Amino acid sequence: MEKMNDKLQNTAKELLENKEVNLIIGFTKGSNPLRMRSVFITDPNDVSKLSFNAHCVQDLAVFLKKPEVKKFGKIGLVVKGCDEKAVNTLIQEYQLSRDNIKIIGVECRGAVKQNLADKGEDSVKQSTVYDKCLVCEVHTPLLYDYLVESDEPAFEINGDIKPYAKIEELDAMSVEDRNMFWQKEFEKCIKCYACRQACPLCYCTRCIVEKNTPQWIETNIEETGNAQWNMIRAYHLSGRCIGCGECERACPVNIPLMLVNEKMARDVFEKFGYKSGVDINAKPVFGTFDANDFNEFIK
Amino acid sequence: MEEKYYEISSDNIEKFVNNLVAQNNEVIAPKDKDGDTFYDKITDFKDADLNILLPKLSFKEYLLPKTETLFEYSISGSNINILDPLENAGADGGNSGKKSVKRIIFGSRPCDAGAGPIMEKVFNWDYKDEFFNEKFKNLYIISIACVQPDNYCFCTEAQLSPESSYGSDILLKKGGSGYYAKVITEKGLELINSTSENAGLFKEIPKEAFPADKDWKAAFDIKKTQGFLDKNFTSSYFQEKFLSCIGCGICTYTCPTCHCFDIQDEGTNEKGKRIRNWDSCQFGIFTLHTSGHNPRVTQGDRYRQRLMHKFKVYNEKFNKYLCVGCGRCSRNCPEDIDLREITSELSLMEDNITQ
Repeated sequence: MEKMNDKLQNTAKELLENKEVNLIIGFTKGSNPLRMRSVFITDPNDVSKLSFNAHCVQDLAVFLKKPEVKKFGKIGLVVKGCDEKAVNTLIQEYQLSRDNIKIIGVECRGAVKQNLADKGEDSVKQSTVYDKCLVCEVHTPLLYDYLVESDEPAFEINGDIKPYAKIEELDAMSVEDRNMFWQKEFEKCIKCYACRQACPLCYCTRCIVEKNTPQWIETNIEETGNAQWNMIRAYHLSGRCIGCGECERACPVNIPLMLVNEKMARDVFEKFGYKSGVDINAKPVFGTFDANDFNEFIK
Repeated sequence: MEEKYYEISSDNIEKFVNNLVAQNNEVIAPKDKDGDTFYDKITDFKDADLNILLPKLSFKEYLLPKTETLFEYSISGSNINILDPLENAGADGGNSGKKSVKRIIFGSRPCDAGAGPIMEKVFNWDYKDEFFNEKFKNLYIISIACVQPDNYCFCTEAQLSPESSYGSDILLKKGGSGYYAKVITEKGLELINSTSENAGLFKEIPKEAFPADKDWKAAFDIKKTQGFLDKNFTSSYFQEKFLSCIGCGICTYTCPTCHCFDIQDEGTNEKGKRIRNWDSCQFGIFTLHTSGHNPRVTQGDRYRQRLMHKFKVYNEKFNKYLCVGCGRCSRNCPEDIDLREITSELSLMEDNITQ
């Protein structure tokens, strides 16, 4: 990690000193040895705070939607491969100019689940990392201005653990049973909307749940309101969600939101051959029109 | 009332809790749910998970439900019918509306118990909130003292302690043949004397036989935190520190003392209800005026508000802090913002200014 941190710090220092960026957003040590947190650096002398390890769970691209952060103009962002796809999507959706961002891509060897790390887990292996790490195709980010290579070995995958296994289980269920499953999960929702806030792609300045003339989504925490909120959010993210898993990590009541998001991503790929956040020049799947679309109504 | 002290064996505490369930009380305890612990209804003592430090959420929802119906209405022709919750238990069968069932929290921690009377002050300051009061009156709290707080806990700094009985009706401490019990209120005594069988499970002991509290020392002085907040509303600290805040509001939703709510009308022209939902000062929309102006425009402004409310304004009004030091906001924060670290940091900054 030492070599990685050196390169990270040197890159950040250079960018700040040459005034190529006004702000670096990266990771630094957190409230305990197995937690990391974001750090915002404007002074080249502060770059020694930057570091990276398997506990860098946060998707720092989430800060790109914050007005306070946007004010800095040109920003250097430290991102893992999964999170970098959020940057791509923001560029695709005209939320971010490629000229305003310097991507400091870090090669990631998997992130340890935070709930396990909080219980003392420090090793990177298939049983301790997030499901997204088991299916990760972007250990090296797809797009970057600078790459910080990892000096850690890749963890072994032997197929013992099936990522997102519950999706197939749910697919095999009857509609009623599947509905029951989700009803039970959504029952837990306390409507804190942390899933939305933690999402790098939920950038609407006024979320649909905050609109009340007319009110589209019930705000109560009863069955209808909860299902409406969680399903609408899933729809708004389909074809866009890049699978960083921040919604699920943030959820204080442990709703398995990634099952919905991953399922939608699979469906979008199956039906439209589209993967989100892969190509900044691609048209977003629901922002484009194709005369060969398999649906009749659209023609 | 004068406090009373008892000893009770592990077997008998199990019997006591099961008796309370059998007497048709709603008994709530920390309970495992898919690998995490939450306060939930138990039907047997064995359902309770008493080995963990703290459930993920507090039991605030039993005083201030996540959604609470204030009244319901129906309109037909020129007839408007209002369903008053005074006569109606509310749509969700008791948790909402002014009527409340008798509810016993078993195995809460002193921090969570302390939140009850802290919230009560707000709900009775000028307007007497009958919805809250009815539930508070019917809530019985049996807490278990902590032995080992973790690194996010700061109840001692927040002027409670891991063994504080503030807000509890009965405080249990592990020891002897099971537990020692301190009964603080009439409500606590009522539970013990609810049946002669229950009363027989407890053996009264003299005050001296009840284990004394450890000498818990505060790591920093919260009054200095308040001192800093008093004088530094415009400090750049807030704007810089909370750049990392994503405004998710988890700190407020998991907080035992945060009590802000939002009133909404839901329904159709013919039928509907007025409800109140949990709300959070961490949301941008919380202070957004209809004019479009927002007095708390940055997340720094919003987190400062949370600090000011907890450690300055509430204290000026009620001579108590609006924080029990449970540390949930820090443990649950997805961006690792640590309130213990912040309050401690501010108290040191105050030191540096005054020196």
